[in-house]
Amino acid sequence: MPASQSSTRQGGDNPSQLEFTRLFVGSQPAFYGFLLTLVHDRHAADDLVQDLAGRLWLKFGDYERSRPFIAWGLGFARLLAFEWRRLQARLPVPLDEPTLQALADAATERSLASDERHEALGQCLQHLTDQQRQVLQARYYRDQTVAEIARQAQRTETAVYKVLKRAHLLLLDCMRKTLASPTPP
Amino acid sequence: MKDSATDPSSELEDLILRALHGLADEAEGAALASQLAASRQARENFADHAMLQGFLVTEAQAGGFAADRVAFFAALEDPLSVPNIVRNHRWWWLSAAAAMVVGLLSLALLLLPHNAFAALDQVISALDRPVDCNYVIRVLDPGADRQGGNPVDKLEHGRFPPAAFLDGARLHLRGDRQYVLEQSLPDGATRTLGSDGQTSWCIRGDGPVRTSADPYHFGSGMLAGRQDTPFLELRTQLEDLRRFYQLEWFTPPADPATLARLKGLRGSRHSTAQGGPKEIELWFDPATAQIHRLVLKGLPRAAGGPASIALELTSSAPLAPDFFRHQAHHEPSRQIEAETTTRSR
Repeated sequence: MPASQSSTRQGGDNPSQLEFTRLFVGSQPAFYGFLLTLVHDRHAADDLVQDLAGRLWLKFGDYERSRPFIAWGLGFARLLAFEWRRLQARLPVPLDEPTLQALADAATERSLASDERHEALGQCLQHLTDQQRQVLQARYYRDQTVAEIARQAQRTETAVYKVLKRAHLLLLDCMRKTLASPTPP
Repeated sequence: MKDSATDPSSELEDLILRALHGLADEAEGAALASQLAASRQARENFADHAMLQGFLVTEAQAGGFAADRVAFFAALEDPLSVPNIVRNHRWWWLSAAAAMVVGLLSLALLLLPHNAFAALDQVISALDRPVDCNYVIRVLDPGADRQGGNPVDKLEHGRFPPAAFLDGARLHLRGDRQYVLEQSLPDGATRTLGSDGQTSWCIRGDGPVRTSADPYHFGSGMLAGRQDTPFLELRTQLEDLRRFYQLEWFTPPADPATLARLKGLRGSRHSTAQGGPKEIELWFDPATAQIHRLVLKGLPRAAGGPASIALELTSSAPLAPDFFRHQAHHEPSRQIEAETTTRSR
């Protein structure tokens, strides 16, 4: 499919394109989290998700429908992230190949359970304080750095970081408990 | 690698979070790398935090951190659902401001319901998504020529005016930097211009492919002046809408194609000192923040061009990955001419 359709210009009536869109959009949070685990940079992860969409579309003809789409896509995502790391002159967290592979394995495991984890997060967000929500909104919605948030809120960077840290730990702890609790009948 | 740690320490949590928030220095980065190499639990902990951060980005874009999520979306549904106290104060302030001509505009701005800005932010944020949007352009008002006639019907210096070939043109956007505009010219020729975010290009009929390092070079001249490509530079247009326009909600009809319930924001330009359309209408789906219709009214016409145009969403199906590169639009043997000048911006 992809070789013959790679020059497709209008895709509104193409069933393969619609299927690909549905699958990719549904898997995008998992791909994004996976890439972020390996590149540790949100803007790089944003770019890589776009690259991933292009690569997966080109190879979509080879995709076996019996296999989960996320599992298929994660293989490409892993290669993209490794390639990206190889091209960087300097990395804030330098990792050797075996560590990177092991980290990718841990991220794969979590990405495959992405739906459950995301659902757990939805429940846990209710436990945030107003202050934590405001800081998370600034950090993740407005994409502000810790320093920018501190400047705007007239607080120290340490104070803002502490709020972020408490929010992260609260959410992570809540998600772990939610995922560990038995499913109601 | 060998596992040496069994429990994540507070120090490890700090290292992970500082690295993920871009705060870790070189020594901290090295210390974290060392722990990740040594401990499986550290890697799992790191993966948990990074995955959480990914979810938080997604959640933030979906309005998940609004103080009251139900109220956040209810406010989007009902523009009049701002608290009474705000509405009462608004009239009081507006009455007072009526005597203060200079202050009127800023006070009105201060009292605008914040959910309009929040909704507009959502739409702007959605431009970052790797989603393809396909629009058709409609010229709503070609603008009368100096004699009051319809300029679309007349040739000027042997060339048709821009309004003549914008109507019915198809515009494809990916994110906020890649576009392709396909036009059928009145003489039967086709013109396709686009940009992959790095290089812009233009192909007219069987002629050579012209390329430029300025991503918006070939949009020039379509409409007038600085706002010559408002629909190609959607992010700029929407950021201007946020900065220079007074916003109000309106209720557009549902999209007849998708039956999506749309929300409408109408912006009126504060001042003639700032260029751009006099009025902008934004129709969007609050569930996805995708733009279904964008109407630009009262466009600057110093250099001709239509007075009002609309972009109407026809499809958001993904296009081929290489669609925004010129190579996808012509045979490999076509001559390519690189332009050396760039438009001042």
